[in-house]
Amino acid sequence: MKSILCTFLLLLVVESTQAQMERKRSIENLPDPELFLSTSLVAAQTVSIVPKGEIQSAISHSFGSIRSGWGDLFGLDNNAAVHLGIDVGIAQNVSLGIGRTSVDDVFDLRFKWMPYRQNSSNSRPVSIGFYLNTALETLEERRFNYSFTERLSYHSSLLVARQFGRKITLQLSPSLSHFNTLLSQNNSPLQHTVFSTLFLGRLQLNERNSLSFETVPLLSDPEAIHHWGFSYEIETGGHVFQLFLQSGYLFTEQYLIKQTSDSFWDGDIRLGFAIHRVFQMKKNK
Amino acid sequence: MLKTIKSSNSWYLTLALMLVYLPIPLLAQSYYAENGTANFTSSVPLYEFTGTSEQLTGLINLTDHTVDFYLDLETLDSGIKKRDKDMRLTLETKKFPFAEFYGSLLDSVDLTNLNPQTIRTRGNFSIHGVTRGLDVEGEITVEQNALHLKANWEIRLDDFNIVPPSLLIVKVDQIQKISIDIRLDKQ
Repeated sequence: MKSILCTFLLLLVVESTQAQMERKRSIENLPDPELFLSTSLVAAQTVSIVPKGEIQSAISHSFGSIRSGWGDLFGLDNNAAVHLGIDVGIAQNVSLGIGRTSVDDVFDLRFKWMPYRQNSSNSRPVSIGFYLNTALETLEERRFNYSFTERLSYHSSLLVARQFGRKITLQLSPSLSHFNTLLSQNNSPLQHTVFSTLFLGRLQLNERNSLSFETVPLLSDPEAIHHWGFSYEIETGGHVFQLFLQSGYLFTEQYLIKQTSDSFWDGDIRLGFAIHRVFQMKKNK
Repeated sequence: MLKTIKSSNSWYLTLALMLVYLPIPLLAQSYYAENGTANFTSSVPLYEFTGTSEQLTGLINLTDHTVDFYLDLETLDSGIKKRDKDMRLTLETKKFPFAEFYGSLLDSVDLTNLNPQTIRTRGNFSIHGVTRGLDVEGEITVEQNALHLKANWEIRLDDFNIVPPSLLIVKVDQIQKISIDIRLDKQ
């Protein structure tokens, strides 16, 4: 009996030195929530930002109205607008971007700052940031000789968003847009400065797919029509693909807010898509 | 019980002392670190990317010739946050957080030889909830109160039920290259 006990104890000691180490997690906290899959939906900026050290290229495309029917393959034959953009994460929570929209040859310079971001512990329950862009219309105008300043327009937004229960995200973006120059068709007074509020939302279907929308529910310009856009988003391998149903077809915010003339709910809907791709600026060691 | 040990059988006392002191020499021959480097390299046509972690934990026990390494896969950083997320989803790290190798040294380490020594190990590699036997050859260099280990090997993703992500017709290669570089300190 004694020898059995001794053998057992000896084996226990030897066994304890041979056992595998206890596995300990290196990361205990959940990652911070990803409020939106991409930095913009159809045209409106989201609270998502290009991380420091990464570059994002994006191509956005909108077609003609589906009202045109089979003759124009529901608008696919009509190229409405293309926007090419590059955004760079220049610092923690700061990005700078440049883009060009094919309509009116508009170049835009973008700045986004997201100093306060919702985290998983809920000690920061919302994301708050600021967005600013300046656009330059470079299309040659035969009737008028515009100066550089007259070709400029501006847009600024306060971005406020929250994710509810890791599935639903809502964002409000009170915004101010200003055009230095506007063309009037009928000598009616024009609003150069427009206040608006963009409203965005996302429903996460699963880890890689989402449904999103954007609209402009508040708009101080009585002549402008409220833009609506819906997006089905797919994320894979550093890419985000978006398929749009949209009424406004311009991809620079102030143009989308001020110059949308089609009403989604009256059937003036167009198809569109965007592809976002991120690259690493600096290789891992 | 104490009385029995003291009075009847002196070898009991010897055994008790052995039990107390036996772990010490065993532990004294073990080397440990939790800041090793692990690289997981994947390929797509014309391009290769690497997820790197500096939090590889390892233990080499020269007394019982065991090796034990594990890595929290959520610490892998490929340089692009979206790709990291994709990697975590592919490896299902919420469900299977660790990649691990546990096995035995097939060759002895000569602690008096300061030149790099090729060492073979045989054990089980686990990732994504699947465990498979694996032979790994590495290079150990004896340093002052430490062992410096470098090793690399390859696995096939489908052997571990890992479905690599694809982008249209571009697919991540089935071969995953793994390399480790770790300096283990004497305990």
